[in-house]
Amino acid sequence: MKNSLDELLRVLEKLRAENHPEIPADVIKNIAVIQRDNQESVAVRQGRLKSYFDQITERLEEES
Amino acid sequence: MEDSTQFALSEKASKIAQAFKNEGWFIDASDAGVFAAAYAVKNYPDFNPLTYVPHDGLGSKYNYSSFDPDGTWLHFLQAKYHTEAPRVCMRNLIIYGLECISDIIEEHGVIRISDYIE
Amino acid sequence: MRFVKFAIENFGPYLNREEIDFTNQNGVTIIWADNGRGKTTIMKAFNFLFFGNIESPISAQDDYFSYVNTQGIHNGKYSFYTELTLSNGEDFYIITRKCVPNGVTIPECNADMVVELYVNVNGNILSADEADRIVRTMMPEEISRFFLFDAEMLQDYSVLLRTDSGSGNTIKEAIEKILGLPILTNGAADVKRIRSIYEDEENTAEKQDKRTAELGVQKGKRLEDKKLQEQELEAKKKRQQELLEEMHGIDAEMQKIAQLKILLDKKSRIVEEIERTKGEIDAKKSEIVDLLKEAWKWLLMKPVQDTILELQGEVSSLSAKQVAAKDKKAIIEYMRKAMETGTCPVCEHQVLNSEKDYICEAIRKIENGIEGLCDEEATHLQNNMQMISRLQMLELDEDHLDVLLIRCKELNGLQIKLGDLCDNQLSSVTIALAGNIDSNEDYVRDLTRRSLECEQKLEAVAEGIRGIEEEIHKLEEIIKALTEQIKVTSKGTRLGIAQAKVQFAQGVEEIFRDAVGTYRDQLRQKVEKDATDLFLKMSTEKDYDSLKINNNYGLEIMRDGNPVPHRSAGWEQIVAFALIGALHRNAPLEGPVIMDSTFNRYSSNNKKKIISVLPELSDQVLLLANIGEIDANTARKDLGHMIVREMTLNRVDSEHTTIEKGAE
Repeated sequence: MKNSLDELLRVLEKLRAENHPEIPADVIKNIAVIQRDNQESVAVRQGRLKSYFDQITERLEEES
Repeated sequence: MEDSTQFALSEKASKIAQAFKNEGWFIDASDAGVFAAAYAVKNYPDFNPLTYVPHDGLGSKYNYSSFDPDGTWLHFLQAKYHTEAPRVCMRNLIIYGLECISDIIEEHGVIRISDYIE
Repeated sequence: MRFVKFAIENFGPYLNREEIDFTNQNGVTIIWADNGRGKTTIMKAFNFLFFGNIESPISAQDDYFSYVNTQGIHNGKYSFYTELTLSNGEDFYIITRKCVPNGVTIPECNADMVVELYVNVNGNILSADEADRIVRTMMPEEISRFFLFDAEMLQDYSVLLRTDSGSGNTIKEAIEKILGLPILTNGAADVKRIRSIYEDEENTAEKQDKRTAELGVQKGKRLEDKKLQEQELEAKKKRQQELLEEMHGIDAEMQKIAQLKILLDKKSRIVEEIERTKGEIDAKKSEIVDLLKEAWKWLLMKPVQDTILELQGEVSSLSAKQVAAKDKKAIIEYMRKAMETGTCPVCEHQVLNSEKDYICEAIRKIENGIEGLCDEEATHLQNNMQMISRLQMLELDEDHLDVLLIRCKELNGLQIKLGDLCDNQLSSVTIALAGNIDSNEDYVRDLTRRSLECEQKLEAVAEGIRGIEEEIHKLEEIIKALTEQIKVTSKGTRLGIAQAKVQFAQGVEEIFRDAVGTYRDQLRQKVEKDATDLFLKMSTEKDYDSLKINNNYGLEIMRDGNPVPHRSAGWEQIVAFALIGALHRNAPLEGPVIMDSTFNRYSSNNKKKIISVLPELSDQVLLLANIGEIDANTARKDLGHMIVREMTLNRVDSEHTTIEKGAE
């Protein structure tokens, strides 16, 4: 065992690499961490996730 | 010892004879008495009915003929004990036999009928 | 999560503060006790600490007041508490749940008591809400069965085998929660929501761009339609869940009915068998009674024979004496005659005068030696011969003795059979029936009707869901086509950015969505493998070769590629252990396993194997062991250094138990 994310991250990373290599690996990992750490509170979790996505997409805007 | 055609069993003997009857093993309590007397003769050869004195006479009363209608016991007891009081011998054997069976049941619980015959 | 120390005071038989020290080593802590000393109370204390319920994690009718120690009440102590010190990563927790009088000085009933929870994290006391949330997170009620193992609740594990049951579904969700799956399922759902927001932003940009406005409006309409469909889909899925739960309830009642019918049939058969056996006993007894009438004769046979022999002995010796006397008298007679006639009557010898004196002397000598029977002896001899004659005429034989003994043996067998029918079989089926609902015919018919209706509704809802999913798929295709058209037409930066955001969210959503299936399959395979590994270590049955997992994480025992049907409670328990161990091996949510009195179903060989596997179920295992069920020396030999602590429940008196370090 027993790191909660190791196995899960391995699966996510494999799928990312195979199907969506354009998405950075750390993005997937960070989203998983947000999910793990905020399981109980749906509103808090969704709020944090949206903030994170907004950060990422802001970077996309700047790059474009 | 003076013979007698009427006698009473002890209270303890009477109870066990009645119990045998109530449980359906014998039609009459007197049948249980006869069985017990035979049991005593066979299994307690040292028992002397001529000298035995029952604890009490508070049990049921019977006529000797209830136990020995055809005189078989009479002849046997006269022959075995050379007594002129075979009926009293019979009484004592019945009481002793029933009380012994009662003691066995008390010590070991209900024992199978076959245990008394074998 | 590691337990450090558990304390309990004034609860059940535990009058004073008693502690269980778990140590900082991995392994098995054993608490030894005889029946009735308070093992199950420790389990109840854990239930109380984690869930506020005592009898089980989900019991709602606890009488807290009844658990206050009787001597404590006598001493004016009306509260009880449980306290757990544990570590979780780098954080240190002290969880205290207590039951105290609610505004009264001397409580008298449950209504006078109230339960309070306190959680101290690294020295900081949490608010009530936060305390409750933390405890629920640490030990969610729906997964408690994988940490607090009660051998009496095996149906909690066997229900997993039914893939169509509501309960099975609930537990499956709980297991997947332990295994971390919500990270993916929630992730996919949350990202989908964000994608939807980005799609709306994209569509706004499409509508604002003159080149793409018309297509944007069309796409916007489709997006709206899709949202409505998705809302409808969510409602239908919710309805489906409700119907599944309703179905589960009906199933449970049907099972009880089915079970009841089986029990009623069984009872009926047993009652018939009892009556038949009683009849046979009466008949047998009647035969025996007939035979017993003559039994005294068989008993008397030997004594009579012995008496006859004794009498015959006496008769022999008296007769011999009599015969001897008679012979001598005859001789004297002959001699006298010889003297009188001068001639011997026997040999006709002429008697000489010189011989007469000799003959006289001989006669005198013989006369002196005659010992005949006296009157008494003569009477005795006659009486004995009469008695022998009478005794020989007595009809005593053993003709039917063998038959009687056989009948007695047969009767005994029938009585044993009757005893078993009444005391064991009838008694157990009556107890089982007592727990069942009334099964009048109307009720059964109503249940069948409800089941049918529920099935039809489920089918209709499933059909509806399929329809909506198809509709959503069609809309997605249309939306995709419109988006492609818009991409070709548009060249604006703003639109490009919106499209990139949607694409990005879509990509993340796909990754998480695909990961759900992949991770789930992987987890199931791992759980199946690990459970099989543990199962084979515990199993004494060579024919059982593996466990196979279903969608609900139910495990079937496999033999030659086929599932073993109708497994016993003992095997159910072993499978449950295997599942617990496998989940602990694969789950991110860790914690000790606490087990109460689990070995009464097993042979000594089975126990040995199960005990050996305990350290593999979890890093920390607390075993509440019944001294009568497990041999302590064997357990120590089998577990070796994996026993980290032994404790004993010491009964001070009927209302007071202490927990002592060391074995008894």
